[in-house]
Amino acid sequence: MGIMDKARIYSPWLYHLHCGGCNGCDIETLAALAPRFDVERFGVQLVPSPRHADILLTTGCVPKQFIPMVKRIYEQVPAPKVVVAVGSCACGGSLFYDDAPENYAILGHPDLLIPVDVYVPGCAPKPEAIINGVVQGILKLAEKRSKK
Amino acid sequence: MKFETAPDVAEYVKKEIYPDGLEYVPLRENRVIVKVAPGDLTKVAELFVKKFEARLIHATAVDLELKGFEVLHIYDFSKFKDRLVVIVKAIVDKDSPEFPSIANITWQATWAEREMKELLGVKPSGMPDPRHQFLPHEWPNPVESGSIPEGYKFDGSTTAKEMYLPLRMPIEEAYQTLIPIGPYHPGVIEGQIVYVKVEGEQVVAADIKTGFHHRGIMKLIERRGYNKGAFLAERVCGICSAAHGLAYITCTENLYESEVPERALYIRTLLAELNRMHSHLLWVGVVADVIGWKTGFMLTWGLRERVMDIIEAITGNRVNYGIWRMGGVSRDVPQELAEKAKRTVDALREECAKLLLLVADHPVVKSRLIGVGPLTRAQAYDGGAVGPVARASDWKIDVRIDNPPHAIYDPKVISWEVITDDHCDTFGRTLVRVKELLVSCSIVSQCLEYLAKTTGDIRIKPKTVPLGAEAVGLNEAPRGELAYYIRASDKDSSLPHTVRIRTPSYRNNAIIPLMLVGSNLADVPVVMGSTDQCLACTDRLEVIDNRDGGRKILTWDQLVNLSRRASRW
Repeated sequence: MGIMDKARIYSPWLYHLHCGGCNGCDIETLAALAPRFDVERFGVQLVPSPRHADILLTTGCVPKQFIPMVKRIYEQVPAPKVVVAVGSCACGGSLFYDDAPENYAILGHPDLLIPVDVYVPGCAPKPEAIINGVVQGILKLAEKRSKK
Repeated sequence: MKFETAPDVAEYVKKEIYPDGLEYVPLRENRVIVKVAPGDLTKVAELFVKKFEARLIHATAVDLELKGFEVLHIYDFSKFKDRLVVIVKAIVDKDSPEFPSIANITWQATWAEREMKELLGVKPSGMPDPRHQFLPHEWPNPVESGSIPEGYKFDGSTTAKEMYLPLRMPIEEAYQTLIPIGPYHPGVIEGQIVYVKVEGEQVVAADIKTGFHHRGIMKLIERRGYNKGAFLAERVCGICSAAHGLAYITCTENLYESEVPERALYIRTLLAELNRMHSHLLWVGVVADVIGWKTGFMLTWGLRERVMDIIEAITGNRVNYGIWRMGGVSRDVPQELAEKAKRTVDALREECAKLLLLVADHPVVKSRLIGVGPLTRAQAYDGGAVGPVARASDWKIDVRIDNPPHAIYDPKVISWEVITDDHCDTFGRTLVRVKELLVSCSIVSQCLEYLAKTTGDIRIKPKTVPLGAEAVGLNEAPRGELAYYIRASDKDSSLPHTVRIRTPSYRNNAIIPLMLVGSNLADVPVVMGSTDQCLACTDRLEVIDNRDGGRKILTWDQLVNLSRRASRW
């Protein structure tokens, strides 16, 4: 692992991908970045473009209309990348998901579309849990980088 | 406290408001159904809107299977005797479900009619804007009336490029630029596309397309029943979850002879107002972030955490509270906790007062917000703005006064006031929200005082919902008026037949294009943010843009060629 990779692990950038949740997890994610929890002390920063990101943080069950966008945004994140799924919806579709008859609007959890590395359950997970998830993601990122 | 109806309301409507109706049915709490012939819908709308200055809350339709479709127009007569809500109904035939559109009379019906057209397959004739509103782009048929056609499979094979091609632009207009903003944009977390047409820096036209967040919640509530519905309703929106819970519960309690203990009403008010406080603080933070005032973002989000602490101490959750029950609430506020929380709220109130001084006189805030996204009172009224957006245009409209939900908002019991502002721009919206924060602090403080002093029941076992009952539940969410319509099933007393939700952002989003025109491109995210749009609310249904009717859809390559040709000139 070169010095570049080491530096990147100490400041992983985060892209927040909202794929159709109720906003609950999203405000908790923002709260994790706000002064009390302050995920920036791990060098984590929220970036406005997926092309700058190392960690993709997804929230929400994926409505069918979001399918092409989610795929596209995942592809835009440069490798190696880590996906952290935040919230019950992102872990398994939560209460929006229905088996029979199927919910016409919902695909389900994002794992059906993109490979998820870390799951953070909870409806909505507390900011502490999200920070824990991000830290787990950083560890995974380190692993992926060392394998490279 | 028992919620009842005034017996003479139907008579009053029959005599004074609309004498030509076919049938008058009084519902609970001053709601009246008037049945009319489908052809009369425009006549009624004209009479109500022009003469009585009634406001259309929502227009929707119900699938009655063999009997046809029932078209519903819900009007708010809050300035009238008994603060009436009149539901105008007309049954249209299943085979030819046509009825006249009222969107030309009250523009507020535009989105609603587009919605019912695509979801139920009814045909409002003469719609000014017949495009799809909520379904995914290639969705072939209405969802609720029919099943998905044989052999149809959603595979997501259509790429984003093909789906969200910019609106077709003739070469003569090549001096203008069309900029699609979204579906992912750093200024707004949630997905939507706003097309803005700019000349240089100035926006000359704008169009909005939402619907990515459609999760089919209304259908899920219809399938899962009243009790589970409360949890689903909360998850329509994670920010205003208490408002949704309260509106849903108000609506379901209106279906039967409900009774709610007083302490439960106070707890409901307490949570709804705490919810409003955290939502408004969040909004000020987001707008501060968008205009580049990072201090404001950190300051308000720091304050917000203190509100969240109180909410967490009371309900055990930070986002979705899960305490809403028919006939009360599920969790009591212990007296010690109420005392402790009151001290926190009083300290918070001082901080909020400081925030108001800071926001009202901050050079960055003033230079970026004054005059941005103008909306006059007349525009707000015609467009159907609700909540702080309407109040910032000097229009005193607040459901908590007009049609209070099942909580304590009586000005005789709790002292509070409706905040209005005459700036008519984004700065006004900011001031209204920060001032409402102070009002909410005061309401919360009074509720906690009551809860600290008394004890009592918090829940009464609800009675069975009568078959075929109907109700409208209203509540003032942090973003504005929130309406639920529920029709009970004719066969099963635990399942609703139809649930319809009209969220505040549904209205406020519809007037965003109006506010965008004339502003600078750099101000677009601020204006979009100024309505506090909550797309998770708006898109509880879905949207498409089919663009049929003879118009050709360009492929990406064609468009590239077109633009190359245009730029060669």
